[in-house]
Amino acid sequence: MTSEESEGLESRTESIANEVDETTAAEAKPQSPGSQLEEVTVCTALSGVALADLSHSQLIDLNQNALNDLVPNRPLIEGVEPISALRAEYESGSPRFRTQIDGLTDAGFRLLRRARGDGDCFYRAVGFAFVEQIFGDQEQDMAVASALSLLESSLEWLDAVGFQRLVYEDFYDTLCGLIQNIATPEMNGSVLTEATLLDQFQHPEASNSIVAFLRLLTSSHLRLNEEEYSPFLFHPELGEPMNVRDFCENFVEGSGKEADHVQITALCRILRLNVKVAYLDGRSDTVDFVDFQNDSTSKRFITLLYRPGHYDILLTDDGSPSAAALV
Amino acid sequence: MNVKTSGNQTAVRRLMTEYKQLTAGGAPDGMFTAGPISESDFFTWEALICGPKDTPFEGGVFAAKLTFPSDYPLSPFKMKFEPPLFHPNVYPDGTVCISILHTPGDDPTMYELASERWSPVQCVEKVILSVISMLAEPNLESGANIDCCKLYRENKKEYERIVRQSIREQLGLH
Repeated sequence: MTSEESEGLESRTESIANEVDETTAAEAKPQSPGSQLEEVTVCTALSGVALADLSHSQLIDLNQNALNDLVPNRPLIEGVEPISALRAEYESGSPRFRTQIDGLTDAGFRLLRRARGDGDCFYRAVGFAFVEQIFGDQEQDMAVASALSLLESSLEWLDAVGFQRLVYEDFYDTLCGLIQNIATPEMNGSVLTEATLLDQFQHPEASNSIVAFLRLLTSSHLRLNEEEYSPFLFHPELGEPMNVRDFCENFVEGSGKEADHVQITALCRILRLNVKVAYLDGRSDTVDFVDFQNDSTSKRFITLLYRPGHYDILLTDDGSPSAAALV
Repeated sequence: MNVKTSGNQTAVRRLMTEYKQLTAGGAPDGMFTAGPISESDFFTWEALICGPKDTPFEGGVFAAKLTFPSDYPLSPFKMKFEPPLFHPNVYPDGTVCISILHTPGDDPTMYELASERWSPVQCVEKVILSVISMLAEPNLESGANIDCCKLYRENKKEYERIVRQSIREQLGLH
């Protein structure tokens, strides 16, 4: 190898390392499909395979593999870590992010639970927090029963918008089975604990089923309340108004589609959750919180940390998701 | 083959439910049948589709292989006519190109925004019904077989003749 070559190789390795760093830091916002396809083109051109020789299905596979590679292989949802770890990632970046993170720390949010940046993060984070908050309830059996009855009553909305039973029943069973298992042991005597909850949510089958169910719930709520939501339904990239059906089919029901204000509002209403979203955007020195309050009888909040294109869960010192008193 | 079926219980359960529903209810007007090719592999199905009436496909029966991903129904299945079908929206290798088999944002042929997309609310039955209406009314905006699209636009009679001819050949009538 000539020195020139080795230099080239080094700088390439370095640039890959940087890319990995950036992805880790910004949690890989899924790129538009166009740019992924471009990347595939480049890769195959480099390895000397003519793209034109590939069949359509091979191309799809190739694109899918490239897409999978773009999302770092992190757990779907992670264990709790100190928010200082997040701050460290911005050490060489914008000081405003660090100032904002310091503000969160001062407000009592010292812990963070990350969700994978695969476009499902909002639904996964909310699903996790929805089940997790049952553990924090003083009357756990009661909380289990009311969560189950809430979900059961939501089925009539799914029916009302014409989703077939076969479409949602397996997803529904997964989520309900999990919640049920907090109070009722399985055949082998095991019950769901906070630790096994994390296991379940890291397991793609269960985790993605729950995400799919929450997406269907969100869609049904939007469709049934069309009049209320239609002024707010816009194409996320084109900015053009959309009808509720097109919006749900394109930006709610399919997996990997990111959630925005409309979807957040809808899902939090359905699950009767009080949610605070902390906007960590580097635009000012303080963090803005946006409240989605749907249960006036409870003082508890789930807090999500938003960074452009991504959601994680924020927790207070004692690991509790609620910090109503602090904000 | 058990490796595949033990991979994802959600997919297997869903496919069994769909299969049960298809066999119990039957397809509307008996236009198609679909089911797993073998009991040991629920992820590969065969569909037999009758050519819709008042189209050049009338009288033909077309076999298609459906290949399901392990994360079905989160991801769509693939559908391939075997042997390939001469149609603007079918690739020369037989793979069907229709928006309902693509997730939103996956745009091999730049489908219109309003076109129906894959999500878990879709199912085998809905897709095959869409394919049947596609046979009757090709979507020239998102063509898969360029030559066929061109022929359809410029000489529809010749296109129809080729389709009818291929059906006769398939039935052994030359």
